[in-house]
Amino acid sequence: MNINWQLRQLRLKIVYYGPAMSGKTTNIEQIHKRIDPSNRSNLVSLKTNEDRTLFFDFMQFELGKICGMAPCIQLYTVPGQEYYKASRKLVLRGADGVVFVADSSAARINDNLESWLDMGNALNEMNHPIGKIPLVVQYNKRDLADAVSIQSLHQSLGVGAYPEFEAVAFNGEGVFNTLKSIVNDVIFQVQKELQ
Amino acid sequence: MKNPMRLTGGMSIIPSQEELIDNILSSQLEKSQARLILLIDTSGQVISFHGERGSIDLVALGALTASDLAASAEIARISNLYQENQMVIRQGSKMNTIVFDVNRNLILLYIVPATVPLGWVCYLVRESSAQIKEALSKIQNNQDDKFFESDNENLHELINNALDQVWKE
Repeated sequence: MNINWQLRQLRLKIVYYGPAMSGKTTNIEQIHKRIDPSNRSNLVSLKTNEDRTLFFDFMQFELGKICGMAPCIQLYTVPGQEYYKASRKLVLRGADGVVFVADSSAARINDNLESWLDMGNALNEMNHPIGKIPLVVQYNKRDLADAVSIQSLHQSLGVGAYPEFEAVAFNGEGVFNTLKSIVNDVIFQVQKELQ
Repeated sequence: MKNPMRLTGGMSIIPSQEELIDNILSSQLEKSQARLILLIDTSGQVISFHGERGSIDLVALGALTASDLAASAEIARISNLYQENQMVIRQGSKMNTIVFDVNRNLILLYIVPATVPLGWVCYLVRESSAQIKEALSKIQNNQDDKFFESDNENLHELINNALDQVWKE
């Protein structure tokens, strides 16, 4: 979080976390596609030759004034592959909120869990354990033939009371609701902390 | 009952601090003949820039600079070589870039023509870093403006309306 009182601008960082190929980059691409270009930055992607996220994807967008303050939201994704653990921790640093993007495929339940635990460890190391940072869970790829039930995904991760959304990020379904939820949670958190 | 949550920290800059930082960076721009000086926070958010913006995408530059320094710091940490206030220098045939870790919140980026002696630029980067730290510590950040003064229900509506306005289906 960064507040510039002169410009009455509030800058917030939200990170999309989750296993490889769960749809983190697709979420950001959909957001980039659907936000009015006059309100958003370019999409920056650091990718491998195989088009996988190497370090992060990044974009920023601005909201109109809310009670005299202009929120500016930065969105980052982490690289999902196991061997990019060190990079994930770097991207997570300074996050004001996290969206965990889980893959609904039955074959990916363990990958989801590993990534969830990895995120929990990284947040713990930063002294911001799960439960102390705004967090929203998105169950992506709900259109897959082998998609498991929301209840099973919820139980396997032990998500608790966090907001949860179903999504098919590829065609934009659930992307905006997820974004709305995390932006609301983060701004409420700012309001609470600054009161 | 939900657990209390908190944000991960960050910075709040008041107008008098911003003015001091602007003065420091303006003077540095002249002394270093830099094409661009950028002050960002460690999550990549641009706090101040001086120099020729041209067609440079400052938002992307801020995010990439912060990540560059974070990656360098991590390389140093993994190699057991980490020290505070590290400097990353990229020498080019026409331009040099210097990224400097001011403190746990701030990063400086200088883009300077290669004709300016690198040692001089490194000295100036350290000098401006010390000046910025001093400026920030001198002025108490006691901003007491009310922030998002609104009841919860109304705030939800305002945030959602603001998001709806920028979203195209």
